[in-house]
Amino acid sequence: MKNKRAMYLLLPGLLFLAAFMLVPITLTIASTFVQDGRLTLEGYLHFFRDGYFNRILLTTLRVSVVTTLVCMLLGYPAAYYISRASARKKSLLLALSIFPLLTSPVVRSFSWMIILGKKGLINSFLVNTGLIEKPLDILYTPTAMMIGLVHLFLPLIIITLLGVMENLDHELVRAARSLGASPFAAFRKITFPLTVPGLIIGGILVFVGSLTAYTTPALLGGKERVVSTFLYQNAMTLNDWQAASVIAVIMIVITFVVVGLMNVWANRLNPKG
Amino acid sequence: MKEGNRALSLYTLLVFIFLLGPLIIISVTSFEPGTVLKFPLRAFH
Repeated sequence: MKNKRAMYLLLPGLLFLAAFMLVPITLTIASTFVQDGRLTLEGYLHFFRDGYFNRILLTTLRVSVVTTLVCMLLGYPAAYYISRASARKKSLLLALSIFPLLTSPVVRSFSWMIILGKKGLINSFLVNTGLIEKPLDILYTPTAMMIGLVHLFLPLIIITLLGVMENLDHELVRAARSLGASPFAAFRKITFPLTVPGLIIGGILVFVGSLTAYTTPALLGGKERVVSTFLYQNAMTLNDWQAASVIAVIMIVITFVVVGLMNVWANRLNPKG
Repeated sequence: MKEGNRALSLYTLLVFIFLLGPLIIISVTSFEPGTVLKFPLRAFH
């Protein structure tokens, strides 16, 4: 009885989700299968036959995968270090990790424009020191997008990993060490498998964020398109809402597939997790 | 063990330089005499 009453507390949230998430998404998906009043897959076939869209899709996937891997590689050791730091140091480092999240992605992208531009800090340094003659083309390339996205999502993966590492039972590591395991063996056999769920959740957040990010790719990518900027172009410039809906559905499907694959990966690395 | 810890702290320091460096740079350039956008605009050309 008490549980039933508690269930009613869920109702407002569920109704809100149904009205403002489920219904619009269902309508968006349904609209992609209807053309001139008949059911068809033409919208999807048109996109997958289009070389330009395939190139954009590949660039988006490449940028998202590389961003996720780089965030994992940079974030994991940093989170590990923070989790083992003294309480005072930990709170300072945690505050510094959260600080970039409080800054707008537009400001952060602009700061990378200053660094990566033709007359930006990196090129000025390389040209002035004589290492290169002509400035490098870094800005308005997929590389610039990846740098901007890693900067955007790195705090997110650090915070996610930190939550898992904080709850890690350090007695297990101590027990392994006392039984003769080397620090690396204790890390490989205990710490890493137990922190895999955090790595996977962080990875999913970064991947989905990179896949759907608009501001950073639009500012740092220049003419290079990703799926989200292509969707915006179709909806706002070309006024082709059906094409925009097809792209949105493709993005949703990719997200579900990646979340599924990462779960399989997590189960393999940590079957008990 | 100690070397490993030192390497880890150096790595973390580099990660934080990467995270906070751009924000410090944009804050510093905004104080350049003249206009706030003077430096960024020059970088775009």
